[in-house]
Amino acid sequence: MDFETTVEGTTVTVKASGKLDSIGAQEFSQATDGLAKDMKSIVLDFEDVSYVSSAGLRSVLKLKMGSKGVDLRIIKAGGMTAEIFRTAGFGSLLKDA
Amino acid sequence: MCGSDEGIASPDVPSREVLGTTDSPDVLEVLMEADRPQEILETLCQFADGHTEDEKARYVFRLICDEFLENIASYAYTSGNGPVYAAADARDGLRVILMDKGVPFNPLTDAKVPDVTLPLEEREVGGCGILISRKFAKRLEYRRIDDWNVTIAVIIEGSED
Repeated sequence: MDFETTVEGTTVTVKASGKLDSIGAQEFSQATDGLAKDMKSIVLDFEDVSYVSSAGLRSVLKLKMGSKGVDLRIIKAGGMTAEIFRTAGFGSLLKDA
Repeated sequence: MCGSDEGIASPDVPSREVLGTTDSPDVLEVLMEADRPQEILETLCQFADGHTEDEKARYVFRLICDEFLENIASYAYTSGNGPVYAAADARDGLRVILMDKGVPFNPLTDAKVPDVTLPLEEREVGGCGILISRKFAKRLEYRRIDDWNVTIAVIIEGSED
């Protein structure tokens, strides 16, 4: 996967692209390690995430667990990817852009 | 059959009981060691992409194969490795058949399914793979044949479904 991270004030945005599968999930975890430090908000732009599996869901959940007190949201998740997040009970993370 | 590992004995795969004859360009069979799930997955998905233009079906096919192959690689063989047989069958609709000789495991009854109504902060990590497979497959079926776990997932229903 590829990641583009930008910081604006206390909001960090990570634009991810590619497949959030078992390999992508490891890369995602590495890319987001320590992200929540000194931040109030983490935005995951998933417009170009073409696929998510349960490994990807686990990596997002781990980020959520490790970011207590920080608002975490996913924006621009499309079609099937958004549906998978909702099916797994992660719908509360999905926000409109 | 493609993807067979040279040097390992071919186990007695009960493929005929599930697939019948497999001499068809619309059937792909793979027999490999279970610790190569990504390789098996990409082989299966390449086949599926060549047999359906339906983007959602392609996505679901990848998802279901991914989930089951990862579970087999992680949990089926408690000591060492073992074989996994995978077949993609596009003769009537599209389905995938996955077989392993690991510990008996019925994904329809033995898997722990997470409580998706819990707030995320209270959720346990794990269990979503079976959940989403059950949701998005048209049909999931499990059989135990000899020493094999046999899981059949229908992604596109055929005329006989």
